[in-house]
Amino acid sequence: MTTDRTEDRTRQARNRVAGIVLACLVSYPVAWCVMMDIAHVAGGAATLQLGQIVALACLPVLVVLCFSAYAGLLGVCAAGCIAALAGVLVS
Amino acid sequence: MRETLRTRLGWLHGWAGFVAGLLAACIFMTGTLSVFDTEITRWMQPENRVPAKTALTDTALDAASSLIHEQQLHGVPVFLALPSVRSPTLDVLHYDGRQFVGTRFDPRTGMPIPVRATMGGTFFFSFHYTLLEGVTGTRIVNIIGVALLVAIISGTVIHIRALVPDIVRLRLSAARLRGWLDAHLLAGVLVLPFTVMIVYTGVLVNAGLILPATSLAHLLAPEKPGTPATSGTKAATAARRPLPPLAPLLAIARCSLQGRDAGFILFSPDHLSIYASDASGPFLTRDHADFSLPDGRLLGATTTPGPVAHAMQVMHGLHYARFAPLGLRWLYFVSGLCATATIASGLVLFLMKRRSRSGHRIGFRVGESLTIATLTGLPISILAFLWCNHLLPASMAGRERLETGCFLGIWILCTGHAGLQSSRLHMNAAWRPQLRLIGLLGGGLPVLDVLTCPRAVYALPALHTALDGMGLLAAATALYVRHRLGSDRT
Repeated sequence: MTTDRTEDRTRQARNRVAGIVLACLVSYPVAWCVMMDIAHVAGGAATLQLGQIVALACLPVLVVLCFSAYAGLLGVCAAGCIAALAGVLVS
Repeated sequence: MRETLRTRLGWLHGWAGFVAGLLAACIFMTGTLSVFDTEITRWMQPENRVPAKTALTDTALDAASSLIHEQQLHGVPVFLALPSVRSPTLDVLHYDGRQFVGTRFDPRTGMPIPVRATMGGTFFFSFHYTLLEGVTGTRIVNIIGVALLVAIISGTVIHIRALVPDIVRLRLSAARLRGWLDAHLLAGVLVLPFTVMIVYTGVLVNAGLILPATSLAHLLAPEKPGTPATSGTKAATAARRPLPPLAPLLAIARCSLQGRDAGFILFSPDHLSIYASDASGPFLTRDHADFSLPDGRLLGATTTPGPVAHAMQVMHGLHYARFAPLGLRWLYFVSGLCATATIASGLVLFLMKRRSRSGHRIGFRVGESLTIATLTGLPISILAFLWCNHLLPASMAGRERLETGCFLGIWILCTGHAGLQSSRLHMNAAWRPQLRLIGLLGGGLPVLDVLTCPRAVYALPALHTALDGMGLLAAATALYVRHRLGSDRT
């Protein structure tokens, strides 16, 4: 019983570490895509700064969202795909 | 074992908060001190007894101008910091690779003030955003900032139902864990808007380091070498001639910069640029008026237009708080202390919750030693740095390097002490002696100040009272915590 609980706890800890690593790996490119999309809309240093303002506000929210549940992870992935597609279309 | 959103985010809050919190506590502690960096520099240079709001004379400007011209002939890139409410001296400065050094002039007479060499309050400022590691340090600080935002968001989600009750709940007499949790929540909730603002704007200040505007594939590409200057001969000829009188240029620049005061003047071989003061408003701009050399003809004014640029300037202005009057700077200071207390109580809580289950593990003991090194070792090093400044002979060569060495050496000693004192079952025994040392150094700071610099204390009583009062506050807090630790040693 105790061994089962210890194994459970170890597996849970491993899943959580994997989850936070995955959340960072997914969220960072999405935030970067959002920044570049905004920067490409009109070009220039000002829109790049606007992109940074928005992307840096989004980044921690995206990490928490990704880590919180699978639905969150899927949602962020979908948002990333849209941002990447928008980037391709704009450039 | 069923996992809910609350338990999952609780784990994230705990671990992200602990890992980031060890460095974040250092960043917040030194950042809080940086609110008064200019005042700390004045405290550390007791020879500088020029009163605030002293009028700047043409004589002083001419004296500074002569020195600048001399240094230009030697090829030293210098700038002139004009007197302000916080720093009333006229300073001819250059960057020596670690800090800005130079000559301070009395704004009334133009006589150089023979101040002692010191790292000053700018040491805390540099530590705050670089961890004394240059660009790599700044990048680490930015990553810690984002991790802290993650911890704040997850912490807010898990405490969302009790945010308002937490403001009025502090049960110091309850169980130890409950008391620390109440203190963590009270301090955290009270300054939550300030903490979010200061962390977010801090990350934005160097946003390019964490979110560069280059393709991810180009990040590792080597930089192209810079192109050499083309107007060398013309510039060298211009530098040989004396500078024009600066007072009329300052008046013209004031008109060109929409009535804003000038903060500093940058000198190039063929032109000079007068920059608007950071204290002139919440927009931290680099707006400037350019004048040709040596005739002093106005070349034009450069301002940054556009709402996005203004938004970014406000973000920078809010973080640096250079526009803030004295009362608002004290509010920043108190809020910074509360944010530091939130992180500190969070670190202690993290260890307390895990002591019974993981106290025997080497990882836990390393974590506790690092926590002690952060929460008590850093204040000891800061106080030792201030003591070192007053105890070393004023004319000693290389004393600023010794100050830094003293700071780092004592911090390493504190870390080593905490590491050696770790125990398998009980609370680390290093807490109590280190807290006592903070009490001793902090409580002794006013005595040291009065004994070593009585004339400066007499000339600038408010400044010295405030700085010595901070030492007393640190001592009182440390002795109170030590007293609370006294009853329970688990």
